[in-house]
Amino acid sequence: MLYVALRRFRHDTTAIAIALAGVGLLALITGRSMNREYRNSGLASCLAAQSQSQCRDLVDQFGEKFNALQFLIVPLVLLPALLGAFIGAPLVARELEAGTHRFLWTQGVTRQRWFAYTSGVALGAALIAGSLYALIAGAWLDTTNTVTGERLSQLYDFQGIVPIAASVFAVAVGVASGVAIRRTVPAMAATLGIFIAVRVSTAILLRPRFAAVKTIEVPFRFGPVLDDPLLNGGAWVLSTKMLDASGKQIGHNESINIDDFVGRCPNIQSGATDSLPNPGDVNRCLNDLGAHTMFRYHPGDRFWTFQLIESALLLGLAGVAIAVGVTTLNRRTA
Amino acid sequence: MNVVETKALGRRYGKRWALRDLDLTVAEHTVVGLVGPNGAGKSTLLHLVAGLIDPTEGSVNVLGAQPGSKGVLPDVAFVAQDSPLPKRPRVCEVVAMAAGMNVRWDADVVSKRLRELRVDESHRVGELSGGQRAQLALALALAKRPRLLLLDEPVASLDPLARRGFLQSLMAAVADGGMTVIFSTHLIDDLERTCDHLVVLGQGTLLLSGSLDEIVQGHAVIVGSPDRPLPSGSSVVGGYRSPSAHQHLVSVSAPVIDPAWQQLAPTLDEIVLAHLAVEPERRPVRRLEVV
Amino acid sequence: MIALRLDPGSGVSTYLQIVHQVRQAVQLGVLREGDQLPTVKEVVGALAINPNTVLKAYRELEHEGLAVGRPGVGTFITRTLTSPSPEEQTRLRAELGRWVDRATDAGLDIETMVGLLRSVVNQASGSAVA
Repeated sequence: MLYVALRRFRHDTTAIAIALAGVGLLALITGRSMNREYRNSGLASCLAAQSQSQCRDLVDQFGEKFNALQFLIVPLVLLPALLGAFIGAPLVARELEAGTHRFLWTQGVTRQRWFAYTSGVALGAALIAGSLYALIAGAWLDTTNTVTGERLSQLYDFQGIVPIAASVFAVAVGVASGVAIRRTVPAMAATLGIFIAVRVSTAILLRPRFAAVKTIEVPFRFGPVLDDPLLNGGAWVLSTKMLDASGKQIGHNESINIDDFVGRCPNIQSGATDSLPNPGDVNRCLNDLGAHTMFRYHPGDRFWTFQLIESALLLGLAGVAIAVGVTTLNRRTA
Repeated sequence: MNVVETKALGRRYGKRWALRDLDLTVAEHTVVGLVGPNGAGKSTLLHLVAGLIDPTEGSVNVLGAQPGSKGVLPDVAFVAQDSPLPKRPRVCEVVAMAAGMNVRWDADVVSKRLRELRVDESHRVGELSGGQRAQLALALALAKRPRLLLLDEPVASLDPLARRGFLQSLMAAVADGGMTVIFSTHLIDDLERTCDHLVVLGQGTLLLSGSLDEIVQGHAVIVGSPDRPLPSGSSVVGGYRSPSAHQHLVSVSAPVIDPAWQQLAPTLDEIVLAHLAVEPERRPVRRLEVV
Repeated sequence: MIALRLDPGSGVSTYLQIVHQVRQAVQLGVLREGDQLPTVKEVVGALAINPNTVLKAYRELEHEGLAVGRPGVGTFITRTLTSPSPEEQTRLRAELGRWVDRATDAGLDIETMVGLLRSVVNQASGSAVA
């Protein structure tokens, strides 16, 4: 039976292998060029000696150069979803649609056994493909992680163990949709829909709550930010607020309008609309007001904790999906 | 021993009962023909016996256990309507697939049949003719060495030559012994030569069942004056298309000995068609057994 | 060995057709004592009929004393049948002729007469078998 189940996925395995090889090759080429740029431009030595903010020019230069590579993110996001739609969804639906379940489920093994083996192989394939994908993406993003400090925020979904769990989850959802909907194309659409809904709602609603949010208050100064303690540690900043000494919000988010507090500081010349106020005056005023920025954030070292929690969540949901599939299959409606 | 036993078996799809209140037993080593028009419940009954669907009410027992359960599956083979086999793989791959899904497997049966039919095993299943695919499905079913073989309209879509070839293979397998066969068909022609028992279904209910001899001997076409009482022990089967008011098809418990009525032997066609044509409300409840 | 064939439209049950054909072949001298009948599998393979039907026909032939089955070997003809003598045939024919005259007088047409004859013959062979 294992042989039968393995044989079934020959073509799929080939397709996945080709796709991964393609992505891997692309990642290898661009990764090398990023690495070279990182070292040759002096960014590596700058970041080793100084903070993120102090190397800003070099960071920006690096970012501009490799901005176009963002397109590579698209296949990386899609891969687990595609596994779910093209391997998971047709697993049972295709047989039901073609009527071949009447052949497969009247052989010497029970349909439960058949399902256990075929879906087991599909989930195993997802595990392997997801792992390879995570390895490739992790290696590729290594430099970018350091340069941008966005490992826990923007780049979180493409590395670590979440892509593996996401691939397994997508295939499980695909299999369950196929059993429940019984038609391949609608099941594929449902798989994509459910996958995207779960991933997006997890990222927006649950992930920020995986651990207690930390806050930090930094005196606000007008002028170039010399050092950002959060950015260096690769923190995931959830919100930024400007407050005065009483905790009342001034301005909106990260920007403030000088007019908002011009009346509260007599040493700032009002009415002089054609010329900017003296930065020294403004900073004195801000100091008097007790103006500070409050960041709500998760420190960058929480990356693996978050990855573990989210992976456990996805694998749990995958288990639920498979349970739904088994129950529906046992109802023997066809 | 009974290979199949159903009690008050019913299966509903949505609001429609595909099969209702069916009591049927099928004895070992018989070849049972399942007849009825489309929608009579033939496929539903076969799917229930194969364990592909569960009954809505009542029970069905196959070889002493629940159909589709682990103990029964190796002993039951099912060739569904139009022989659904995976189309993309090559013939040899489907054979390997079936072999991998069965504990008991007689590889010689398949290779011998395919050689006889001159089927190239490297062809894809989708490239085979309808007759070849049906034969492949039959060969795969027979390689299980099943105790019960179920066939759903196996010859309906085949041309006469392929149909004959298929029935020859099937009957040759029956001659090897040890197998009970239930096959559905809406072609009455094939029944008389291939079956020894008959089950007639109409609109989801059992209309008639029994051995071919019992059924033929249990009916008579009688000719006589319409105003005379019917011979004792006989009742008219309503659906008979009588050429005149003087002629009836009756079911009888014993040969008619009544000077007022002349008795003719009905054909199996006439009997089956007469029972199928009875309107539901006039239909007597019959619970014959296939013994 | 003889080749059996079937006439599906005859209305005569399959096994009786086999019995009749074998009997006829013996009567005509095509089959002689000691000749082997085709095996069940051969008949089934050739005619696509239920093997039980062939078995039933062969059992009937054994019952009539016309053939004997040897397990594992086959079924063999055990005796030679002779047709009725020409005198006997003439006598039967004359009797039937008288019956036809009476039926014509009673107003029966040819179809009804043939139907009646067939029904009587079927009944007789049916009860002889059963």
